[in-house]
Amino acid sequence: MKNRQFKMRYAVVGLAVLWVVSAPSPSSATELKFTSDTMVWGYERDKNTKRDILVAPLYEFLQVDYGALSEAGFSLHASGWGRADVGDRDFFADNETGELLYGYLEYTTENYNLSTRLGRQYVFEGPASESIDGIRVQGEISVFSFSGFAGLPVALDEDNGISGDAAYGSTLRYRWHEFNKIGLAYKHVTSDNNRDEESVGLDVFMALPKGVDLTVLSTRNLVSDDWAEHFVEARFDLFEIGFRPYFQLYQYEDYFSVGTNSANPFRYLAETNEELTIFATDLSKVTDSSWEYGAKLKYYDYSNLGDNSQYFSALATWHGEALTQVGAEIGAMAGDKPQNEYFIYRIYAYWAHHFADIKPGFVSADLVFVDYQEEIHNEDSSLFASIGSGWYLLDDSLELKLSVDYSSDPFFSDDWRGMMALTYKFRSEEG
Amino acid sequence: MPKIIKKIGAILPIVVLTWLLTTAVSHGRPPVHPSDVDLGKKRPICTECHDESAGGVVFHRFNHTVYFADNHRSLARQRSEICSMCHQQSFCNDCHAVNTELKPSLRRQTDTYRRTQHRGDYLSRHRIDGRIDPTSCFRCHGSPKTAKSCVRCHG
Repeated sequence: MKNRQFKMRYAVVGLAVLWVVSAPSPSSATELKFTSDTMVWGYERDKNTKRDILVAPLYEFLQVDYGALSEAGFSLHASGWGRADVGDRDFFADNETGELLYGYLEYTTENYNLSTRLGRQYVFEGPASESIDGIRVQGEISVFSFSGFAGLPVALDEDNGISGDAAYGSTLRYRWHEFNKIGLAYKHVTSDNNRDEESVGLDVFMALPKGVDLTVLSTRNLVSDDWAEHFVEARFDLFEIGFRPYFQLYQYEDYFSVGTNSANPFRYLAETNEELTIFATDLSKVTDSSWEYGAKLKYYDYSNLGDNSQYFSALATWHGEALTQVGAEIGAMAGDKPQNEYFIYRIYAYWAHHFADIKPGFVSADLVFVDYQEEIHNEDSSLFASIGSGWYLLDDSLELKLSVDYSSDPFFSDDWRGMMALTYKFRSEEG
Repeated sequence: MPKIIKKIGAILPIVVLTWLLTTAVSHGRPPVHPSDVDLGKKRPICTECHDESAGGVVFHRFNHTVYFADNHRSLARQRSEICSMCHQQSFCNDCHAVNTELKPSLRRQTDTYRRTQHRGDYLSRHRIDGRIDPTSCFRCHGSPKTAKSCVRCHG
């Protein structure tokens, strides 16, 4: 079975190469962008047979972009990660040691904003949120925009291989009065030749008078033949405060998939016939003096549970030069059951600074305290603290980051972790 | 069926297609945001340079204000082509590629200016958040590949 998977994937890559070789390149500017993120963590953990073992995973995240990156034409994009265990080698024995996250060839044109991608890629479109090995086309013609994708769903390749698996879908949107849009999207996932998921999504955006934006999203599960989700959101300003009231309705039986392309605990939840309704609003205000304020109010109601919960939070952030900011946030989850209640407090800072002889860098800090109404593993609170710093070297192409964090919570009593990261960025441009 | 109807039926798609192609408006939008514009180390507030709305894009919706990370789902669902003008998939992967073993707040531990999910002791907090709104978990952890961190305890 593994052989067949490899053959299929090599076929996709082969097709992609043929596609590039056979098509004339409309672009003369070829660029190479390369980013390497090397990160090593160090912390202690207990195992059944041994206490305080040193766990030190070394991660490498690589990203390569090559071709016409700043204009229309062909380009190649790839990203993946890998891990080596510098400390205890058995700690991550059950985990994968790396993965290709995406690797695709893209062809873009200036006309019709056309984009064609071939290879492993993520598709976020309508109700689709899939990683596929396949093709995706997207474009615009006049007042219509369209997209379509087809391929092998990466999430299903461990379930009886890829034989009989497929994911495909499409979206068509119509634009009127310049900004208003209505879209209809379709998604179909087949696992081992069985219909695993099939849904259709509707989305509407309208720029209404008086600066009111209205968004409506709905998803219908065609397997269960009922509505999975409704989402209605408005955005407008009143007294120089930004309001974002929204409404959400989820029917668990239709929202959570029970097929192969799902997992626990969601399969269990799909059998509860629960219906969750959320009424909420966000408020935000940006002042000229670099202060930004925000607040969230959220009310959860359930059809079967018979209780409800409410979430309130407020924050204030001061913004300085570049990404400099200092802020604080306080939140509370309240409800009918003490086990679902907590208070959360957070203070955060990110300070871009200039050392005398060293390139500009930053200092970051984070403090999160959570107070639980009902104890979790005999603990009624969590404390997390983190402090970090970074330096930019080699004309900003190299970034060194160090951080130390501490956590005392229901799962770890006194947990210290250290992290060192090196990020190298390279960008070249040819004729 | 009358001949005239048949003729219209045959001609209409050609007329419509021709009209669409000749009136096509690409808004002059480049595939990526022009690199000569300084999008460096600062918060992207689109309306600092663009009008509130123009060229088919309601720019103020894309301002990266304090709750943008919390609320970008409907934008990504409807206008992913605008997101991809500035962000490669690798940027989305920092949070959305949940099979990378590092949760978003650890992947970008020192980026405290981002409202990354699961910051601090989320192992404890997720017991409550998950009971109250499991739909928010499902969006990222809903497939066999992305639920590997869930099945260790949830089976």
